[in-house]
Amino acid sequence: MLTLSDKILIGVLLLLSSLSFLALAAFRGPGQTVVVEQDGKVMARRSIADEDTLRIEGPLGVTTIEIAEGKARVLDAPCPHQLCVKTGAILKAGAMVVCVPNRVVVRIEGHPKDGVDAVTR
Amino acid sequence: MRSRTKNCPGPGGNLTFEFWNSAFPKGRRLVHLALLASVGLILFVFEGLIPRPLPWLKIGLGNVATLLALFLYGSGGAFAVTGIRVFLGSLLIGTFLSPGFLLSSGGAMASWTVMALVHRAWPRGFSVVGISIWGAWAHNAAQLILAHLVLVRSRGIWALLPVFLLSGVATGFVTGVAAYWTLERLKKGNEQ
Repeated sequence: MLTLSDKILIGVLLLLSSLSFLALAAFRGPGQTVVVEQDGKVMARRSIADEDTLRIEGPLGVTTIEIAEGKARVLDAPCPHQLCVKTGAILKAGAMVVCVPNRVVVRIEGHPKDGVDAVTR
Repeated sequence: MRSRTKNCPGPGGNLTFEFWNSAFPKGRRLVHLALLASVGLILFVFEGLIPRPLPWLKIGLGNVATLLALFLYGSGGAFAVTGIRVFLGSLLIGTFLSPGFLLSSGGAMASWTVMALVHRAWPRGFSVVGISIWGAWAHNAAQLILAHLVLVRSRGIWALLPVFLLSGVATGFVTGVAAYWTLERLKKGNEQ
């Protein structure tokens, strides 16, 4: 089914796209806003430059989020695996910490124009 | 009475098809391309009904018809099939002349141009799967450039480039395999 040129094409394109993923991660801009969501609803928006501690109520209990020194992280969470705490601090645009059991998402937004403006069908 | 109906090359009669073919040597091509265009249109509308996990991940099933037309009837046929699909498809789903229509038609035309050129330049080099990946890739690249020019003059849109490159390989592969299977089926049907 696949000719040699097909395989070379697929290989080159896969290499190109993974390289561009890496390049983009390296040049990703600094974050601007920390957005905290609970169950899909935005609970809080803070500038990343703020110093603040947020307490978000979820189905399992209270998740504590700390914003300090231009970074955001989950300090304490009631979930069993503590993955969100172990993720550590995030600072770059597009980065996020997710706690699935307590349905809390902390993400960092960059330039306000980023995001989806239109969807084609 | 019986012999009259038998000899009459009217609608439904045995002779109709042969008569049609000899009178219009291009008739078969026309009918097949019209069929492919409608298949592409149906696939396009059907695909729009499937919920998508990510807004930028679209398989591009309509391109199966374009690929078949390209391999069976050349670049002219593929152009007709693509043009009809884009025009009628946008009327059917109600995006005609909207910004989305610009992106979708631009993507389709870029895809056709690249597929036709590559197919013509290396007729034996790439299989239908390879041509499909070229097409998907051109489609995504054109959409990204058009979106940048028309919709969002923001550099943030280039953040989607890696996603588009990667999804182009995946969706082009899926569409190409579908076209490959169809071509194999058609070949078998012709041999019998």
